[in-house]
Amino acid sequence: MSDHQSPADTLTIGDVLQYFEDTYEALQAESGYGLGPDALDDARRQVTLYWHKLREKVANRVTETEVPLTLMNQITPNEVKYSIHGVVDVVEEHDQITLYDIKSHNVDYIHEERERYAPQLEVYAHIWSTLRGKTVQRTCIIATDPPAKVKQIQNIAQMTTEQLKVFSEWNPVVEIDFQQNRMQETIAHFGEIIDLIESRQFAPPTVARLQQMWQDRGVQMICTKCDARFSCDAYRSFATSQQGGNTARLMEIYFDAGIDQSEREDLLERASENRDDAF
Amino acid sequence: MSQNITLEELWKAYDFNPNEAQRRAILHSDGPLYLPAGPGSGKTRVLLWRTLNLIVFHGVKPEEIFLSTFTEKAARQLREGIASLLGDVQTRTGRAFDLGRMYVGTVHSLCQKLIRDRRFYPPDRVVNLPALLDELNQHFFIQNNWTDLLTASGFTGTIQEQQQSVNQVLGDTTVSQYKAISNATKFFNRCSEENLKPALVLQSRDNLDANLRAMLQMYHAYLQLLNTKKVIDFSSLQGRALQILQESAAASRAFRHVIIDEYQDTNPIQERIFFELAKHHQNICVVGDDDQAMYRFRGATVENFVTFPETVQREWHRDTMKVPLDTNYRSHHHIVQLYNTYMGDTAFWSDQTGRSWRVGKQINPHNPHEALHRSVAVTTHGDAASVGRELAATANRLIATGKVNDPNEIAVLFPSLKNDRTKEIRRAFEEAGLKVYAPRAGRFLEVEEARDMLGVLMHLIGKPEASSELLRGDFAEYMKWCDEVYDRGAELIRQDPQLTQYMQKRQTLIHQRVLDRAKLLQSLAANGISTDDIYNPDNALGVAIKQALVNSGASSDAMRTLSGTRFDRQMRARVEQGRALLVIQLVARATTFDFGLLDVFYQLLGFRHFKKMLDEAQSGGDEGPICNLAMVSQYLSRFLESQQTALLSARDLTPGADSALTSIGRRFWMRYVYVLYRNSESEYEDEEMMFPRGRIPFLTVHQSKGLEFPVVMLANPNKQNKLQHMEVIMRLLVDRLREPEDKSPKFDSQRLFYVALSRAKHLCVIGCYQGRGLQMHGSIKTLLSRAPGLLNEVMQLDLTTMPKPGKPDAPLPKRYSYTADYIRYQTCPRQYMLFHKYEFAPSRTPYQMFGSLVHRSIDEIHNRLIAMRQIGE
Ligand code: SF4
Repeated sequence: MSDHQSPADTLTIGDVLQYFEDTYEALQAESGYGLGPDALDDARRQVTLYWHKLREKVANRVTETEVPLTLMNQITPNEVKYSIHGVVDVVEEHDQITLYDIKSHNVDYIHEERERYAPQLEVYAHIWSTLRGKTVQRTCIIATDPPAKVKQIQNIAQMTTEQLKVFSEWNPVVEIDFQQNRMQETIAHFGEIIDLIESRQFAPPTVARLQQMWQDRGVQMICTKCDARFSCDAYRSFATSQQGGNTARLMEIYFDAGIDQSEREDLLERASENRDDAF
Repeated sequence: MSQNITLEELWKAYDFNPNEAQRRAILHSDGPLYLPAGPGSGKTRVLLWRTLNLIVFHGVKPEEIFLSTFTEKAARQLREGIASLLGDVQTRTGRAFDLGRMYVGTVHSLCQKLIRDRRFYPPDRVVNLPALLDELNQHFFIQNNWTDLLTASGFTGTIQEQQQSVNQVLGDTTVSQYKAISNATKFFNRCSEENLKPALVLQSRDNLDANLRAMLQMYHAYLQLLNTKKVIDFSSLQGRALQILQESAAASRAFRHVIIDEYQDTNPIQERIFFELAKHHQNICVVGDDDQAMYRFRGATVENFVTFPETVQREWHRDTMKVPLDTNYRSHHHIVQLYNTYMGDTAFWSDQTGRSWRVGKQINPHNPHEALHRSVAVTTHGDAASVGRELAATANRLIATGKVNDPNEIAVLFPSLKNDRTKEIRRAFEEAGLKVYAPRAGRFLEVEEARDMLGVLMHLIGKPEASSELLRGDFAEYMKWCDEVYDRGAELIRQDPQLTQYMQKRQTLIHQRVLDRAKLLQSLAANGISTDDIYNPDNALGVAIKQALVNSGASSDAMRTLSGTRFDRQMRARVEQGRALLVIQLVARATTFDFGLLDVFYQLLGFRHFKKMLDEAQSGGDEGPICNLAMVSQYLSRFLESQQTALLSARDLTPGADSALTSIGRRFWMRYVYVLYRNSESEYEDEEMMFPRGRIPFLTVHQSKGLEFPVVMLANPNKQNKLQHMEVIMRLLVDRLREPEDKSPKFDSQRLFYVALSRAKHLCVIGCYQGRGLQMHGSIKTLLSRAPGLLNEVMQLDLTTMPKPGKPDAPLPKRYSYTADYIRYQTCPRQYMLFHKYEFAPSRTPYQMFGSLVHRSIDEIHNRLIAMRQIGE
């Protein structure tokens, strides 16, 4: 426990950086995993930019943070009893309630995919109003990954006119329209998914679907970094089909580490540190 | 107060008709409450309804309740039960309740919650938590700091002699280092649980013997070490929580109600915590049964429960309301009569001063007129084989006549699963065609999947060779395990041509990099460069180093990592930051592979033998193998945590001078896996148990705690009455009211067998022994002589009047998260299964970590701003 004191009644950027380091230390200790220097810089930048950009608009107004939400007494088509859980941040001002969900994604991406995120916020809004007996007026996602131009700003304290313009035009808050009537549908679908989980249906997506995702560049995210790819029929067929169905490729899969250049650098950087033989 | 509904109406809706005592307990809402609860007395229901009553009808907010249970499972059951009752109240009345911040859990998990609860800190304080060491990591932590701790202790002599002294203190005659570390660990934990302050004890007790003083000094050093390294173990976590409670005025007011289940199994520091928590409101309710106390060996003091009203009187100068829950809804009335007789000797439970160490209660069967079937039986007196045969024959009869739904409703209970008598009884069951399920009867490392996986890995990182030093007692058994596992690995590799090919290719790659490393080192040496030289690309030495490396003849693969503009940039940055690399580190960098142990693990899962286990689980089949594989991945991951990087390097994989064992192999097999192998000897776990269909569970009495079975067979009623060494020591170090030294172990044995007997619903069978060395516990012999009218010979038992088995209980509602379950499943069900459901350990930092870091940091900012505004107001 450190006794870091902050002056007067407001936080400084120094405090923010300190929280960040403390959080990282705690996460590392809990999980046993760490981030490379590049990723760490990236995360630090997201947090400090959030502070600079939304200190007044959001941070200072948040009335409750990490509010646990539970929708009790749900039942699936197969009659499995369950409850739905989520966590949000809430701003309550003059009876105007806004729910915020923080995602470390890019704003443009969230804008494109807002339809995908809407159901989540609808369900959260529903749970919140059921629990507190007050209606939610707005739901928003805060996309903390800034656009490239903002990332390039080196020193927030001394921005050029050009940079100032970029910075003030950037809006990380994406308002998500929510339609309460769709919420029932989402919950029904939730129940169907629970039935699949409960009956232990865990087949991977089809090869056709993986190929589709590949074209959308989504497969980059889920399969190439998935430890289970070597033993995954879907991925194996997909990967060999990329090579014109060459089955010798199967053996190559095992020797393709799936580490990109920057991750490799990160790992090497860490490997370069002195190792004391712990065990 | 709700206008629309009454408690009575709710009871009716739930078909619950509480008896007088239950009713009083549920409705009580003010002051200390003492609930001695017999077996099968419906105490969970009482806790549930009592909590509901407080929330719905007394306006207590869920977050003002502190409810501690013995296991996570019990906590989950209570939480879900309360949630669903409250959900129902909400539907009926429109009043909503938010359970999100309620404190329900084991003492350990609640302490964790307490020490991170912001309400209990001054708002301007950053709450920075120490990392929690679990049992295994605590062992390694102590092992890694072992010489420092020994030095601090003041023990003298060689390391061996010092270790022997450590062991001696705890009544162990070996010199084994493993034993010394685990003995010290036990001692530290026990001291923490006794809330012992080493400096004070050392000061105030000058008559302690030197070894004990040394142990206390070591404990003192250990606590300091935890502090400087910012870690904490499970036992000292409680001390930390207590400290916070004592320092924070808010904390003792935060909980209007403190409810503790299984109070008889709490320890001294927990008692302090509970009284501190309840100090202000004084609404503390303890539920428990001293007759069922079994955890003294883990530091529990049943005395907490037995003397509860006295403690309340001493602390708060007030009386306690006592409501015994003594109606038994579980067992047939003959069985109830049996255990009442067993515990009924009042003189036995008294000490010389006349104080009784038993709360004392007569259990009343709920239905004293239930059909007079014969529910208590004994085997013929004989040896283990003959007792086993009779028990097995009875089990077969019960199954054949449909008196149980499944063999898993017959529990065979033992004080310990690891002895010869148990083995013989198991053999008798198996010879009678019955399948047995004995969780934790063996070590995890003996499980087939673990042996298979580690066996194949051994062929990559080398096998420990048995030298004469290793063949000493400590290691001999383990070395045999290594041999067997190695052979098994060879067999698996041979059987699968694909796998053979993979292994050859891997080994070729490894070999090449090992050669590269040798060449690099050679070239550096030839150029007069020391491996300790510092590399700065911009000075003459740096240029020379680079030159030597480039001309070494190492493969281009190796050289690639030492070139490029990014590399130069990084090296310059390092020089500027004063973190320049040594030459040896450059070599390590050049010869680091792009895979680590966990990568190999996941690659191996792609081969036939392992892949079919995953395929099976993925379509709803047998989950046994996949659970075990997940556990292997977690053990590997823990090992990697101590290795700085997830990747292997040529240095790790260079074979030793005289054997194929690599340096990573030595760390892995000789330290890590070895400790795992030894550590898993413990038989007592609280983890959730499954009872697979078709098998008869063989359980320790401890494992049967809190459970009930239609049929119970107490197969080995034997146990030594010996005061454990740790008890003797604690009696020397800490003054508190304790059971008399001579009787305490006898009490404990009797409680153990009481728990066993009281698990039975319809039939309870006791195995009887006769012959040389075939002892039965004295108390059981006495019982048999006192209750002749109840006993039937099991082979003659008429089962026709025994009731049909009931239906098993409906499972509880499950919690599903929108993001972690619903969304992740839809992204890829298979990935969800492996990494979420079965918790395989990923080889690299999971992508979620980045998001969590950003999210949690921002939450931290919000938290602080909220706290500041609150002071502002
Ligand atoms: S490789 Fe992993 S993420 Fe991709 S389909 Fe298979 S299991 Fe799913």
